[in-house]
Amino acid sequence: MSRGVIAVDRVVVLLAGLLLLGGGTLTVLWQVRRLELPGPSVADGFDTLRSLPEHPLWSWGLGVVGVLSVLVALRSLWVHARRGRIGPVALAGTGTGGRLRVDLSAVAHAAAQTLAAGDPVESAQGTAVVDRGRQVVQLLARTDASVDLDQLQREVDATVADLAVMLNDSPVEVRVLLDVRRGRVDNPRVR
Amino acid sequence: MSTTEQAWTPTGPTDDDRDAGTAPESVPVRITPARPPVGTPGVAAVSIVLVLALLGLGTVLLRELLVSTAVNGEVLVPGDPWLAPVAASATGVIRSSLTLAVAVAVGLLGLLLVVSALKPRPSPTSRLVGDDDAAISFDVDERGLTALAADAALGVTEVETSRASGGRRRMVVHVSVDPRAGYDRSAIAGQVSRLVQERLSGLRPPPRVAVRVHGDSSR
Repeated sequence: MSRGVIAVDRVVVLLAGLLLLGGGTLTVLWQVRRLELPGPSVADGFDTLRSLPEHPLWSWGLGVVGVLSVLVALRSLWVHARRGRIGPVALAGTGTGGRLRVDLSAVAHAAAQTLAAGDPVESAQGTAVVDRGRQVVQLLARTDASVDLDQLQREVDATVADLAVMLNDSPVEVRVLLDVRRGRVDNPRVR
Repeated sequence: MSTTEQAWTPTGPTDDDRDAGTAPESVPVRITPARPPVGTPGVAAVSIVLVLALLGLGTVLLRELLVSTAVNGEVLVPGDPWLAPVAASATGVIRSSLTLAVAVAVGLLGLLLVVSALKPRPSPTSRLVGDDDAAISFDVDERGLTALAADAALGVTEVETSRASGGRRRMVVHVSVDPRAGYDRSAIAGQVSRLVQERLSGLRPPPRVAVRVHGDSSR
């Protein structure tokens, strides 16, 4: 879900919330007689509402609003379901003579395989994602809780160094997520 | 690290490659660490609910058009209109306890929507920062932090089992020791606390660690 979609969500939900909050508050104030509505104009409003179904364009008006509602709703659902995809990323050295491009997903996958080959990491997955507008190679490494964090850091740094070479100067960021599992609860030294 | 170098090397030669030869570790790392991940905000779910409501409303409006439209004397869809009678019977709002209840409910719903719209995205992980020369930090979720803390407690010889709860600010570690051995529990708690602090030293700021020593190992 992109930042733009979330921003639109926030604005729409905020406006809807303010509308409901305002309507509810005004009605409560009116109910406890802290607020008097201008009687004649309210009565006129209800008169207009009652006469609306008699209007020749009543059902067509409803239809147009209905079509627009359905279209907007379907479009919004589609936008929410869509995932950000990363196309090939241009590498440094790209110029008039030719273009160097790399498939980030393949890079992420390969880096994860490298990481998983080391001792401290049981398994690893690499994905390329768009996160808040940045292209990010994300490595998810599963380790046991008894892992030596310093050794793990060395392994990860080596992999990241490989990535740095590979992605030389491209605006790609890297993130390492640890999925720490606990293999044992008992202390093996006690037995 | 030899596996690292053999398992994966860049396919295309770059300037850095020539400098580095077969030792990528010697290359100055210029990778940009990404910001910690964020989860999906609650407002997205609220928005989906609103969108589904809009879809339902649109369907009802379209149905109203179809049941009330006749082509060559034949209505398109058989059925009674729903909205026209409702609109035609609207006479006004009266002061009643029902009106009050509905108004309060609507206001509270609006408040919930406003709060959800303004709530920031959740951050499901904490960052474990390595040494100064480390190229990148680790992002660990709360379960991972408690697993690391509980495992660190097993570094104390007297501890039989351990578990931990809490998160990035405060970690509570429960350890069990042999009740018949007569250990100095406060000393054990101190050692456990030190080991857990050490294991989680990458957290900024470091968490407060509380240790509970239990004498019953059957838990």
